[in-house]
Amino acid sequence: MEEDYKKWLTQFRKGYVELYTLLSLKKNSPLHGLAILRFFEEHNLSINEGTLYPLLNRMETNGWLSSSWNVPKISGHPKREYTISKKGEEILPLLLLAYEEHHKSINQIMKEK
Amino acid sequence: MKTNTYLSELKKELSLLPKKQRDDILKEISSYIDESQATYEDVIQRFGTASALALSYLEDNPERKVKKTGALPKLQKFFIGLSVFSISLVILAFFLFKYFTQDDFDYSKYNAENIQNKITQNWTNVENIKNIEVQQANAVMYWSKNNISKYSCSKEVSFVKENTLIVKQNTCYFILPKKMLHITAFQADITLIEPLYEIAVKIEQAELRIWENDKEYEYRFKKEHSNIKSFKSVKGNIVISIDAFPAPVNKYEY
Repeated sequence: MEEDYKKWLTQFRKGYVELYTLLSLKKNSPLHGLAILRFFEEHNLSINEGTLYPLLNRMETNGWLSSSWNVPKISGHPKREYTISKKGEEILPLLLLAYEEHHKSINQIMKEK
Repeated sequence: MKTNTYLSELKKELSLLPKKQRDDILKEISSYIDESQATYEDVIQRFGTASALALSYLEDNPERKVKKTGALPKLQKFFIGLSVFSISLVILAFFLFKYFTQDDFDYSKYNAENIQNKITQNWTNVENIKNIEVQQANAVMYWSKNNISKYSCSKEVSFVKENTLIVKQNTCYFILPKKMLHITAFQADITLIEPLYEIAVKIEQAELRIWENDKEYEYRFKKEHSNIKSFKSVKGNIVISIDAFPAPVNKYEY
């Protein structure tokens, strides 16, 4: 039972993490991977690195994000920073609308007797 | 296990991705590890195994298909390249062999009369010759109805010794008389064009070719370790005795 739940949760998250990522970058750009993870944690969204990093890669390939390397001038590690792209800006309202409609549908079903 | 091992494994697993994309991924994970000071165990816990993580990167990646169909593993590429190169080399060697071993002209188109028009270098008359000895040379022999023998060689390395005409390291054309002759050849290429009289050929480490021109001969073979193409032998005709060791005997073809 617990295994089934975990599997479902993974699939469920995959669908919505893209939306959360676009939202986080819309509010705070640019962000590197670790900063996006922290942002999620602050907003009670638990996701591991093995899910987020490939997802960022895919979103960039799709053209929803763009990335660049920020190399510190004095010390520190180079960081790959992400920003929301024009295409990402355009698709974000559509994703939010879909999310809200799904949410409404669930509420509606729950309210029915 | 070290995190470097993890990155090496990941690099290997991501080999299907374009280099730039793969390098960015590895650099990003490496940067994460450095910044968070993650151990190998931490990395496994957060990212999963290298192969599982690679699979997530490769899922739904349009570049993956391009790479899969458009690129072959390096080793496979190497062997395909090697095969193509080897085949080309064999073909080249074949044509070079053909070029360097092909006769200067079609010997069978000539006879004792008109070969002297083709080969214009000095012809030498010799009489009372019973034997011809050819050593490390190329010899083409025609027959005339006269009693006098003639020959023309590219080099002046030939001489007569006790009824034997000896040619060495040369290219020679012979016009032979109407009498029986003994031909001995060692490491030579002998071509007989339409023999008109009986001959006995003894060859060793040499090649013998015969142009019959629709004539029929009585062949008498004595062969040892020699490949002799099927000759039709008809009794009562001009006798060609061949003692071959080891030497191929073929019908002449240009």
